[in-house]
Amino acid sequence: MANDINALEIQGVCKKFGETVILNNVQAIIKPGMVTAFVGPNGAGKTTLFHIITGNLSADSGQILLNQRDITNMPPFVVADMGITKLFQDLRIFSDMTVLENVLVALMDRHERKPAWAFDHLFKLKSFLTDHKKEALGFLELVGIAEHKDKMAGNLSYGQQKLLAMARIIARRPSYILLDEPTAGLSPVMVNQMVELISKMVKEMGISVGLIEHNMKVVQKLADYVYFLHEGKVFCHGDAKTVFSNAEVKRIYIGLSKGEIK
Amino acid sequence: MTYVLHQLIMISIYLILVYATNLVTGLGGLMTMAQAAFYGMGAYVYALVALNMPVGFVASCGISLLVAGLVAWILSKVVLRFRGETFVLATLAFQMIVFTILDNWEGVTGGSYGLSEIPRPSLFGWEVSTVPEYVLLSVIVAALITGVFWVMLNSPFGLSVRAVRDNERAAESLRISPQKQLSRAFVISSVLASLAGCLFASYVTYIDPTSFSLTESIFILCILLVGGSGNIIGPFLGVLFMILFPEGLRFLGLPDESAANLREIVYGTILIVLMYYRPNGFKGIYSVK
Repeated sequence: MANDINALEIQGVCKKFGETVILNNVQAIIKPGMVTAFVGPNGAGKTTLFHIITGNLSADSGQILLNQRDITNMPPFVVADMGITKLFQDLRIFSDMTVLENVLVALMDRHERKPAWAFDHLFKLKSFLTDHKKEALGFLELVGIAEHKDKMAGNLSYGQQKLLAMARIIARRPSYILLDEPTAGLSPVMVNQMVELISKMVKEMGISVGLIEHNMKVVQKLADYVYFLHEGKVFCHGDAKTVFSNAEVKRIYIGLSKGEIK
Repeated sequence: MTYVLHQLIMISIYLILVYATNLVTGLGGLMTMAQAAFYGMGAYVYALVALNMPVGFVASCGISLLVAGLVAWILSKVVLRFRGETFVLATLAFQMIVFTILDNWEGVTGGSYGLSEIPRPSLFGWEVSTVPEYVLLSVIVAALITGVFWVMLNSPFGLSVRAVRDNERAAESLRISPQKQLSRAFVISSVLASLAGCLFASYVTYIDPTSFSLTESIFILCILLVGGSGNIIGPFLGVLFMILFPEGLRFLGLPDESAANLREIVYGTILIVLMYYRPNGFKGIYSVK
């Protein structure tokens, strides 16, 4: 399994915050064209793991390999350039810009953002913008909020803002997307919309997804492979059925999570 | 008639200044207090070059813009480390420094006496000497700058600067460098302000530091905020209102001995009322959907 050439591999990653061990020798692999879910009780280290992959946190030891290339502890923008993006829990949308502009800004290249570029391409500017607007609208249609394109993004509901953040991430055409609780705070209708969107991303656009999710129905619907994390270790892994029928997992997770307030 | 034409020229000059400020304040979300400093720097450098070197109007302007751009670029390295109130204070400090230099460096700037007999422009054989001709020149330049601003507003550059204003960390995650984009906006803004300074100096032919004080910076910012920032119509409405309205009060027939003070009071009151009902400036009128 570790010899897959194209994959995002997590090899023996450890992380401590002070004396507290957050991750202890975590071994996992996010395979291309699949949804790989990370589940486990709160504090199991799932979000920390995603932060380490994206370079927002550094690993104490261990390696992150992208297509066998070591990307451990690289700065976040370098990791993003390599095609690994993350849906931030705080969404980070541009609230005083329209929904369409939010996606539009993600479509512009670095050299196009230079002030002189617009004057060099003065006569092409209009068609350039129309083309990009069309493209951006396509992404909004994909996530299902195209009818709100001219609204200020800050005026959207939380669920719609989440979909907008997804559209903006997809517009960057990544090969890996890490989703940290994509359905948290969404209404049941929106949850279904999000699930459909994620499976569309994987099946039609060939994007590989790493998923942290507490909603077990969503995990069972989407995940091709599940890692169960407990106290910073991979407790067990396999397909969703195998993991969730494990008696120990049921005791730790289903039993524990009942009493917890998330 | 000359009075009306004079107002037209001042409107053109302020339009340039306000569009320049709009780049940093409207798009970038940073309130700059240094606009009059670059306005003054433009005017003084133009005047000094035009008085001492026979290189012509275009070259004198060019040198003036270059100096402003360079100073702005260096300054941006310092002031763009700050955001919000701290940025206001940092640019305010720069404004004070420039004013103090203009006011005290008598050997070069003439101190509080200023510089006089600044030559009028001559462009490719066109001697701009009468007021109507000057109206033509300044309106053309202002129209050009309006066009430049429009392109920038709609370009990927404008879009990314607005993105930085809204959420810097999100912009960073889209590979936009906040420092770079804001510094570009700041430099362009300062260069445009110095262009307004060149026009002003060559029009009035006599300049002194009082035209480039902190009050002037605040006035420019006021025009932008009254008109509505971040768009193209706002500055236009703001300039029309802030320049023409106080002038209009002259015709109110107030008693001579208290006219000037009364005008200020009426003007101030109306500004407060306006801000109460239209906190986003005039532009709000048009954005109602």
